[in-house]
Amino acid sequence: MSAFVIFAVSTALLFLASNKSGTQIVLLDNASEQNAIVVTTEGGSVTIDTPYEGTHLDSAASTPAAPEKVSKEALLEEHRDTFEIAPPKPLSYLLYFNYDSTELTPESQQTLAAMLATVSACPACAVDIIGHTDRRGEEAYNMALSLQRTEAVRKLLESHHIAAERLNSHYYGEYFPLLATPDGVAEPKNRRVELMIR
Amino acid sequence: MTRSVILLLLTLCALRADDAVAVLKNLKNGVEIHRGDLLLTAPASGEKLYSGDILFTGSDGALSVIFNDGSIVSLGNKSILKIDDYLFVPCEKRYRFDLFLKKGNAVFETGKIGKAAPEAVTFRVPEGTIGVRGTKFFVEVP
Repeated sequence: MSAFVIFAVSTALLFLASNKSGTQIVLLDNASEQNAIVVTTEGGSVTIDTPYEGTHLDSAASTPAAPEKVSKEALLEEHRDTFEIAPPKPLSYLLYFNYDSTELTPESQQTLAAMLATVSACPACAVDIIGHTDRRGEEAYNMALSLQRTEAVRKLLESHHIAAERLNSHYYGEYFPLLATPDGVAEPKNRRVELMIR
Repeated sequence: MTRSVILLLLTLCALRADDAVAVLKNLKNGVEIHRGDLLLTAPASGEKLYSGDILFTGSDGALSVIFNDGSIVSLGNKSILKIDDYLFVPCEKRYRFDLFLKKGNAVFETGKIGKAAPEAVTFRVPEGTIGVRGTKFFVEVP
C-alpha cells in the first residue's frame, strides 16, 4: 500500500473502544470542509462535525453518546488492516474543450500525452472517462454535449491502443461543475472531460 | 439538440441502473461474496459488485471497494457488509446509497453522491443509522 494512504490515515483518529460494548463511530479527516455525520437511533441523534471525535451506541433504544475525542494512534494500530487496504486515491487528469465543441484545447493535448504515458505504465488500471459541460445552454443539450465529449475522448484513447474493456464512460452534463456558477454562464474550466485512472 | 439524441440519452440512463455498482479493488486472505443463491469464494481484484451483494471477510481478511461515484469502503476482518441499495444516475438526478454493516469494522469515504445528494446516503448499523454530509468515517460493530 502506498505511503499516501498511510499518511492520510495517520492524520485521522482513533477510538479507544475496548471497554465499550456497542457500535463505535468516529469521524475521520477527509481533507474537505464538508465533513460531518449524523448518527441516529430510535432514542435520538447526534451530529459529529469535528474530525477525530466519535460516539458509541449502546442499543437501538438509547440515545447515541455525546461526541468525545478519540485517540488516533490507538485506532490506527487496532485497525491497521482496514486502513491499509484502502486503495490509493485515483489519479485524475482534466482535459479542457473549446466552447460548444468536442475539440481539445492546445494545452490539453499535452495533458493527454502525460495521461497516456501513465496509463501505459499501468496495464491493470481501469480508466473512467467522465464528460462535463459548463452551464451555458439547455440542460438536455449539455447532457448530449457531455456525451459527445466523452465519446471523442474514448475514441482518442482507443486510437492510442488503450483497450476498450479498460474504459468506463460516464457523462454528467452541467451538473458537476468544477467551478460553481449561476445557470447560463460560460466557464472554460467546466468544459472538461475528467480521466480517472484507478 | 435533436429529439433523437435526447431519446438516446434517456435510454442510456435507464440501462445504467442495471449495471454493476462497484468494483472490488484490494483484498487479502479470506473474502466471500454472497449474491442471491450464488456464493463467490475466491473473488479477484476487479470483480464487479451489484446491489444486494453481501461481502464477508474472514479472521484475517480485509477488502476495499470503489463505487461508481468514487465512494470508497474498506472492510476489516470478521466483517459482514451488505450493499442494500445503490443508484447513481446523474443524468436523471437519481441517487440512492444504502449500506448495512452487520458486523466488523469499516472506513467509508463518500464520493460524488455524498456531494450531490448527501440525503440519499445511509450507512446502517444494527442499532441505528449514520447520515453523511460529504464524509469520511470509521465504524465498528461488535
